[in-house]
Amino acid sequence: MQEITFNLNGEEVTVEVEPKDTLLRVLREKLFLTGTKMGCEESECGACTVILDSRPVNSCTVPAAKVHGKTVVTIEGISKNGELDPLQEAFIEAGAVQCGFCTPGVILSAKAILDRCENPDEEQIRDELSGHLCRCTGYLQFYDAIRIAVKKLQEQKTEK
Amino acid sequence: MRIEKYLYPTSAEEAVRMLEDYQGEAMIMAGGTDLVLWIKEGKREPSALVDIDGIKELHSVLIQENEIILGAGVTHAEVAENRELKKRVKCLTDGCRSVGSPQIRNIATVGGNIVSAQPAADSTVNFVALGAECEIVSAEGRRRVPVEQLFLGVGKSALNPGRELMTKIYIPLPACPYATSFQRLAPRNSLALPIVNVAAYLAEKDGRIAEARIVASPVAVTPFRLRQAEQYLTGKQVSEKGLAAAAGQLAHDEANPRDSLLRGSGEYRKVLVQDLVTKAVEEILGKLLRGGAEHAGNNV
Amino acid sequence: MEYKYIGNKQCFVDAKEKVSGTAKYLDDMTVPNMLYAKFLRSPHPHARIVRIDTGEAEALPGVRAVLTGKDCPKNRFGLEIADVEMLNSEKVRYVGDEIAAVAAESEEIAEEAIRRIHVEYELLPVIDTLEKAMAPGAPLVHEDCPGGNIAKEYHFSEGNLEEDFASCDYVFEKTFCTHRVQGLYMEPFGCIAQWEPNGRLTMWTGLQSAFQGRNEIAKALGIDPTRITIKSPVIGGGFGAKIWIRNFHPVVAVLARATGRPVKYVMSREEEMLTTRPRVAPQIHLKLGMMKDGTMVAKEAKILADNGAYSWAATKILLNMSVRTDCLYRFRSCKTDSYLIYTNLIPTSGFRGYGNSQAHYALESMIDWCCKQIGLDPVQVRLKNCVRTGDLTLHGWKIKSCGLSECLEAADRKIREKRLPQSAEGGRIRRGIATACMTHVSGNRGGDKYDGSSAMIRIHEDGKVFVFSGESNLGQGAYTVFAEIAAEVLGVSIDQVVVMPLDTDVSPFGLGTYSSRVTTVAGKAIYNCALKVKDQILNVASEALKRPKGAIDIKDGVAYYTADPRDCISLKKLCALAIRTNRSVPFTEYISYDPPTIGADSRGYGDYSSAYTYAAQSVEVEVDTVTGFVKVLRVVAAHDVGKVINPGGVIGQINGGVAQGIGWTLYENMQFQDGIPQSTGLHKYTLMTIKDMPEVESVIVESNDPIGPFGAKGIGEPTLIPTGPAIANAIEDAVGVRITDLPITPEKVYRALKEKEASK
Repeated sequence: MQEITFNLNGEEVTVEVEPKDTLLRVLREKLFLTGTKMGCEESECGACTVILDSRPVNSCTVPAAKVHGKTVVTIEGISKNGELDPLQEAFIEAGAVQCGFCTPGVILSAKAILDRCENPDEEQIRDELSGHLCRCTGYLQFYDAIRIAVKKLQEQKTEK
Repeated sequence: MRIEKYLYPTSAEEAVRMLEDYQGEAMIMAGGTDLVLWIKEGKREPSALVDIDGIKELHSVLIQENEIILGAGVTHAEVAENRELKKRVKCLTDGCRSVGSPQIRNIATVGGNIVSAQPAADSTVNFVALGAECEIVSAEGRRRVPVEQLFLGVGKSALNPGRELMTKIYIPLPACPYATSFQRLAPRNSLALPIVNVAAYLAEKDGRIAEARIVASPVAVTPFRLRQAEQYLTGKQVSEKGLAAAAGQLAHDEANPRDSLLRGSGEYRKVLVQDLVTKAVEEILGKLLRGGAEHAGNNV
Repeated sequence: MEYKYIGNKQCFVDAKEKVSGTAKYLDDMTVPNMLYAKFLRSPHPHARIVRIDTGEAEALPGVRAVLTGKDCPKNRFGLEIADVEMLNSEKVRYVGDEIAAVAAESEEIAEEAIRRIHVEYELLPVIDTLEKAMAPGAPLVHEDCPGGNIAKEYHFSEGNLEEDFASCDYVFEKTFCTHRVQGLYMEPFGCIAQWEPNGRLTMWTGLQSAFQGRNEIAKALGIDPTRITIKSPVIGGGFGAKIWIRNFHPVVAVLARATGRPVKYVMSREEEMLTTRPRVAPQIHLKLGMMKDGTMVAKEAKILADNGAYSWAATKILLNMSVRTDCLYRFRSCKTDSYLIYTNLIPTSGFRGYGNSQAHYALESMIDWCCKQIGLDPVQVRLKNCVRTGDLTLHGWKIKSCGLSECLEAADRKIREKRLPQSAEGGRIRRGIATACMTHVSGNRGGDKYDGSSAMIRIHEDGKVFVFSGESNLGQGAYTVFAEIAAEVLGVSIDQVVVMPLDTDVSPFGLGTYSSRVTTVAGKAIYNCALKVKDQILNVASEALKRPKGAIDIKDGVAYYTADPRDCISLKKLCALAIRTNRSVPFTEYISYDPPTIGADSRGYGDYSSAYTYAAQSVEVEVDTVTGFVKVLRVVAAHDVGKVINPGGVIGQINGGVAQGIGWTLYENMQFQDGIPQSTGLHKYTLMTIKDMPEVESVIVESNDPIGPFGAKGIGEPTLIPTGPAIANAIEDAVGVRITDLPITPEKVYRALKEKEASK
C-alpha cells in the first residue's frame, strides 16, 4: 500500500492504494464515488471517464497512483451543493439520458469540451464524444444537449 | 506477482536507476492504456512501476529548422492538436488523431505506442515513414536508434522496458520540399484499430522524387515498408502521370497481409493497401505540384 | 382534446439522478458483510467433464464456498424447454458454459480461486454450423432432446398455397441469413442474493421481467416463488437481453445459502460477450408469388435457426419469426416450416425485435429484389399490398389501427426530397435510396395465455401520488410514461407523482418489459387504475363541495366545481378528509388489466396483441465501389405509434433503434472459429460511435388506437426492424448488388461488385 494525495472535486484527498489499483476502482470502492461507472474495464466504452488535469481519460486504465499530485473531477464534482450544472440540466432537457449508464462519462467529456471552447461546432462535439459507447440514444441528442448547455452558459454569463 | 511499489522519478537517469534497482523486473509506466490491461490480464508481471509523468524532458515538443524533437511522453492528443506539427508532419498529426479515442489520446504517449510494438498502431507507422530516430536511456547511457529497428514482432520491442527508457523521438526535416499523407480504413470511425493504414512521405528535389518512404500496417508483424513502391517512385518526375496508380499496384503486389476473421481476407486487404497507397501518393504529389509542401521554413 | 402532459414535452422523471451520478445501479450497491462471486466457464465449445478438482480453490484463504453441479439443486430450468442446469457437471456445450462458482471475501480472491479449479475434459466434436448439426448421425448437443439437434419446430399454413403459387405471374425464391449480435446494454448484468432470517430470499437484480424471473429462480431452486423477493436497482439498458434470468441468478442464491452471507456477482464485459444471449441466427428461405401488377399473392418460408447450446426464449423467437411478417401484407396464402437447431455456439435468445427483425430482413429485402426483377417500384408495391385498419390478417390479427400507408408515403417522400447526386468522385462513389417497412406487436398473449399488467396507485396523505407497477424501467422512459398517464388522468402536477421502484413483494404483478408492451398494456393498467382512484377522490370532493360528483373535475391537484372553478378544494385537503378520518377512503386502488385479445391457437391463428404497430424507414447510402465500404447518409423513420405520450421518449427510441439497426446490418458481428468466440471484448466488436451515426429524421404517425391508453401503441422494438432491409435495398439501388447475408461487410460488397463485373 502506498499513500497518494490528489485534488478530487476541489478537495485534497489522501488514500492508500496498491500500485496496481486503477483510479476507477479506487474512486468506486475506496472513496465510494459510484457515479463513475464500470462498463468494460478495457478502455473501450468510456463509462468510467473522469477529468484528469482538465483532460477526459478512462479511469479504468489509469493507475490510481498516477494521479498523485494531480487534479481529478468526477461526475459528483460537476454539481455544486446539490444544484445541477447547466450542462447536466441540458442533458435532461435534450432527452440525452436514457438508461443513464454512459451519461456521467459523456457529461464529463462534454464538460471538458465546454471548458476549452465556448461554442463548439458539430465536428468538435463528434470528435470529443467519440470515445463513448451509448446503446440507447443513437447519440444524436448529445448534440442538442451541448447546444442547450452553450445557450445556458451564455445566458449565465450575461446575467453576471 | 504483487507489484511492490509505484515510483515517481524526476529525471530519465533516476528512472533508469530505479529500473536497475529491480533488476529488470520493474516496468516503465507511461500512459498506461496498454500496460494496465496487460497487468490485469497477467501478460505482464512487473515488481514495480516507474511513472514517467514527472520527467520534464519527456514532455517537451521542440520544432527546429531541420528537426522535430518530441518527448517520448508527449500524448497523442498533444501531437494531434499541435498546429505547428500539422504544418510540418501532417501524417503524424493525422495518425495521432486516429488512435483509440479522445480519452485514450489524452493520456497514451507516442513513446508508449512505439514500445508497445503493435503493428496496427496508427502513430508508429508515421514515425517509420518519417525516418524518425529515438533516444533510449539505459544504465550504459544514451543512444539513438531508428524507430523502424525497434519493432521485432507483434508486441515485441527491441527496447527493454525493464531496463530502458525512451526519452525523445527525432524527426528529420529535409531542406527540400516534401509532403506526407496518412490514410486508414477502419471498421468504424473511432475506437478502432485499422483494417489497413498507410503512411507515406515523399521529398522532391529539382522536380524529381528524391526520397520515398511508404509504410503499411497491419500487413506484417511489424510496420511494413513498401520498398518496391518506394524504389519505383524514387527518381521519377513529380509531374509524371500515373505514378500513384503504379505505386499502388506495386504496393498491392508486395504487401502480404494474412487472412483475418476480424479484418478481412488477405486478398481483400491487398486491394485496400493498393487503394490507400494510391490515395496517399496522389495527395502528396498534388501538394508538391501545387507548392503546398510541408516544410519547416514554409508555413503553408 | 387538450392534454396537459400527453403528447407534450416532458423530461424523464429519473434523469436527474442519472446526470448527477447518484442513480444506484446494481454494482453501486453494497450489502453489509457481502461476498463476491466468480464463475468458472468452459473454454471448450463441446466437451465431457471427466473430473473437477476444487481442492486447491477451497484451500485458498478468503474462499467461503466453491460450488459445482453436485452442490446445486438438480432442477433443470428454461423457459419452454428445460435444458439448462445451474452448473454443468457432465458436459459443457459452448465456450462460457458454467461449471463452478466461488464466493470469496474479495473479487480478487474469487478470481484466484477460479484459476485453482482444475477440470479434466474429454473433447467432443464441435457442432458449429447448421449443416453439421443437421448431418445424419451428427453428435448431439443435448442427448436427451427428442428431436436430436432440433430443439423445436413449427409448421403453419393458411390458404391454398400451391394453388396460389400456380396462379401467380411470377414466383421468386431466395435465401437470407442473419447473424448473432449482442444486446450490449452498457450496464453489466448481475445480482446480489441474501437469505433473510425468515427463510426468504432477497435478490437485487435488474431484470426486464422481475416476476417471471422470480418464478424461474424458484423453479431452479425448487422453492415456492413467494419465498423470493426481487428488488430492481436502476437498470442500465436491457434490449431484450435482460428479460430472462441467467444461470448466475440461482447459483448466486445457492452460494449465499452455502455461506450464510450475502453474495454479489457482476459480470465482466468479457463474460457478457461470452454468454449474454445474442439474437437468434436463422437461414430464411423465402418463396414469393406475385402478379404482374405487383399484387403479392402467396408467401412460403423455410427457416433453419441456429439456437446455440440452450433454448431459453429462442422457441418464442422462432415462433414470431415464423408468422409475423405474414400479417404485413394482404397475402392470400402463406406457409412456414421452421426449425430451431442446437449447436455448440453461444445460446441465442431475445434482442430487440424478438425474431421479427430477422424475418423482416428477409421479406423486405425479398420484395425489393423481386420488384427489381419485374421492374416495379417497391414502395408502390408495398402500398398496393399493405394491411390497413379494419383488416383481419391471415393469422387472425384484428387490425384496429394502422398507419402503415402514411408511414410509407412519408418516408419515401422525405428521402427523395433531399437526396444527393447518385454518383460522386468520378463514379467511384455511388449513392442509393430505398425503403422497408414493418409490423410489430404491442404486447403478446403468449404461453400462459395472459398478456396483462396490474397497477396500484396510492395517494399519500399529503396528496403525493405513488404509482406502482410490476413492469421494469430499463431507461427507455417507462416510468415517465407512467407518471404522465397518472398525472393526466388524476389532474395532478407530474412532480407530485412518484413511480416507485420495482419490488415483487410490493409492486403488483406484471409480465415484464418486452414485446413493446409497456406503454400500451401497463400504461392502460395505470390509466384504468388512475380513473378508479379519481372516482374515490371525486366522491369525497362531492361531499366536501356539496356538488354532484359529475360536476366536479380535478386540475393541478385541485378538485373544482366545473360550473364555477372558484368553488374548489385541494387534493391535499381531500386527503386529510379521506385517509386519516373514520371515513376511511384509502385513495388507493389495485387493478388488474388484460387486453381484449384471445391469443393464437395451435395453428398460430388468433388476435394476440393489444395493438399492432407499423413503420417505414427510408435510407440513403453511399458505397465506395473500390473498397466496398458502405456509409448510411440519412435515415427517415416514419412510425405509427398510435398516439405520442412523450415525444422526446419516442424520438429517443427511434434514434437508438435506428442505431442498433444500422449496427446489426453493417458493423456488429459475433464471430467464431471452430466454435471458439473471437469477439471476446468490446475492442473486437464494432458498436457504432457518434462518428458513425447518421442523421435521422423522425416522422410520427398517430393512428389513435382504440384500446391503448390515449390511443398509444408501442415503439421500442419497431425502431430497428426496418433499418436493415432498407440499407440492403439502398445498396442494391446504389450499385446493383444484393447482399443476402448479414452483416453487410465491406469485403462482401467488394466481392459482390467484383462478381458482377466479371459476369458482364
